[in-house]
Amino acid sequence: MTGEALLEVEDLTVRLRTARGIRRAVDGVSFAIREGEILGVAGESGSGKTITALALLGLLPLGARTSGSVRFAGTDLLTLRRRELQKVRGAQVSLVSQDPMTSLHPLLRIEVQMTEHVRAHLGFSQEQARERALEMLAAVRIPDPEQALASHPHQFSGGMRQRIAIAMALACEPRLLIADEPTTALDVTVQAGILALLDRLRRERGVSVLFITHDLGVLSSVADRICVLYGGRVAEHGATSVVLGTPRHPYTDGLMRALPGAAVAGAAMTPIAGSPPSLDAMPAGCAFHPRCEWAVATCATRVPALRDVGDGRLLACDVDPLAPVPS
Amino acid sequence: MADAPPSSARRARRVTPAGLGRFLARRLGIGLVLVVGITLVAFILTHLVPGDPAAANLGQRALGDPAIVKAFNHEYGLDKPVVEQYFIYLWKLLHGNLGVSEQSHRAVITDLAQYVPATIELALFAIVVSIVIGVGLGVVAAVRRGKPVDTGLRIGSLLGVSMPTFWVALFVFYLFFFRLGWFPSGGRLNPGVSAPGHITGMYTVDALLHGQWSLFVDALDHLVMPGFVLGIFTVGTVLRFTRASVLEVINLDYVRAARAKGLSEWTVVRRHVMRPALLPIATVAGLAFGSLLSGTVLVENIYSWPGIGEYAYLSAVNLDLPAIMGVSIVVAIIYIVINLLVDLLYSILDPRIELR
Repeated sequence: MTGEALLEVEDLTVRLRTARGIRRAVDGVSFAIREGEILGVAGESGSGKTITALALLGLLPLGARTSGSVRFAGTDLLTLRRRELQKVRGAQVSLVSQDPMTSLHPLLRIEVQMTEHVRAHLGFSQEQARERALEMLAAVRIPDPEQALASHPHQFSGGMRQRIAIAMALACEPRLLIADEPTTALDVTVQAGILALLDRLRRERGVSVLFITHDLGVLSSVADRICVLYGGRVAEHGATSVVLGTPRHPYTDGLMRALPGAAVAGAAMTPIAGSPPSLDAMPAGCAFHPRCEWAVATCATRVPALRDVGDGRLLACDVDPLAPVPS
Repeated sequence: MADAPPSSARRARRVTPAGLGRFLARRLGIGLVLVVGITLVAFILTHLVPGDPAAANLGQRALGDPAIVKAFNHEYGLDKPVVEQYFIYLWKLLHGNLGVSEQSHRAVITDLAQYVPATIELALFAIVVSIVIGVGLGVVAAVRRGKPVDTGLRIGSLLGVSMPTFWVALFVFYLFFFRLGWFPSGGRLNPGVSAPGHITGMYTVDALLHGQWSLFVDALDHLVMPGFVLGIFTVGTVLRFTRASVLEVINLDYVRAARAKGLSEWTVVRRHVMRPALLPIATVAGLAFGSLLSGTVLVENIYSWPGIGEYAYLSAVNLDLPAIMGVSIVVAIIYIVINLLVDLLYSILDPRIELR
């Protein structure tokens, strides 16, 4: 959890081409991940989480423009040529997608899918790559790895598929795993298994994880630090215990109160009014102000700057209604 | 299955030999029913056409002599009631007897044995041409979507689809034979060259099997022009379907996952995009083969290709009933076999599809 920053994202901005013109999906986002750390990136759909993840790997849809910098182990991934970037993808930085039902190739045997990148990146023979695949499948607790290699994805359940997808992503022993909503499509009991798996892999293999989710409850159990995104900007950023323990951004607070169960003891579950803005209708000023109970007049005109509020937390709210009252 | 490998691959592979056998038996059974149905339809249609086979086949003077007309009708069984004629035909068919052609005066089966391989050779060449060019360019268009290459190919394929075959055939004939002299005008071999020993009836294949290299070149030389013209007919269709099919796959999660694994773009397209994209293309290619067969009538006529298209045309013009029936049956069998192959291809391409 300590050590050098493995990934430093600075002022990342992504412009997407939509039917109505060019829109900023991610706007000046910065964060860093240290070796062996799990950073949670939270936000509703449309907050720019997935676009951020794809931008790191250069996997954005056609017509997307990226600026800022993404320094991974000293290299800016955004400036790399395609061939150089291909050497990083899957080998140094891997991606696990949201839906294991669609992220595994339906027509290729698991063996092909688990060995092709190992052979390409590490120069392994098929035999060596197969050995590695068996080892990884065992590591993610797939029963009978031999049988699994000869099978096709449709022969597995969703949870099993996500384990296979994680094994696949880890097969080249990457230093960073980008997990884009890895548990969203799964049952709650299966979710817990995947979370435990990621935590164990982080401890045993020292993998850093960028964990993207809309579910703060999931992050509370695995993330070391949390970065809350809203409308493509960072709303609140800090250690998990700080951000979730005493949320200070109205949006984080709203997400917490929207959680089922006793995340906030005694409070009833209340959804945030309204819905997240679309790219075509991003509000002026603070993007959250139309939904914010605390909004004041200036919120509609001035974009709040992300500032250090002292308790190891970065906050982008000018009102800061939840600040602890000095006694 | 007792000696099957101990590997767990067994359960993963859905197509067992027994399952395949059941599938084939079922499909061949259905095919047989279809063929009989086709004979009925062809028989009815030929009898609905107003026309007199005797008038079409006999000369003016012979037609004037009722005795000769009667003898003609008697010889071909045309004096019996239609229903009886049909059952006589079926009975003979059961014994492999397709009757005697009224024009060539040879057994229809002999004619077919001569003409069918020529057409199969031509159609196979054409379908290979159209699939190789169509799929290749379709993938290029999809990968370079929105770029000038894509626009050019889309316009080109639209032209290819909308240009009438007879026009293309005549233009190509004019340019490459008459003007440039690159290819022979027609036929299957140069005059005076004798055909290779009969194995498949396809001259290029037979020449290769016999190791007769110069004969192979000669046969191929004759095949290129009609083959391309026939193929061009479907290139546009295959191209457009390939482009659409590839575009549908290229943005799917698992393709992005393949890119995220750091595979080269070429590997991603070849291994992860092409296989699922080929599924609908297999269907289109099967259908395209059908339209190729109807295209042979025209192309064989222009390039003097002695195939079943030309034979079908002459039989239809001359109301040569046994020949028409023979052609119908052969074409039906070709369709059934192609469909069967497409379904088999599906189950090979997609392990989730079970043969039934």
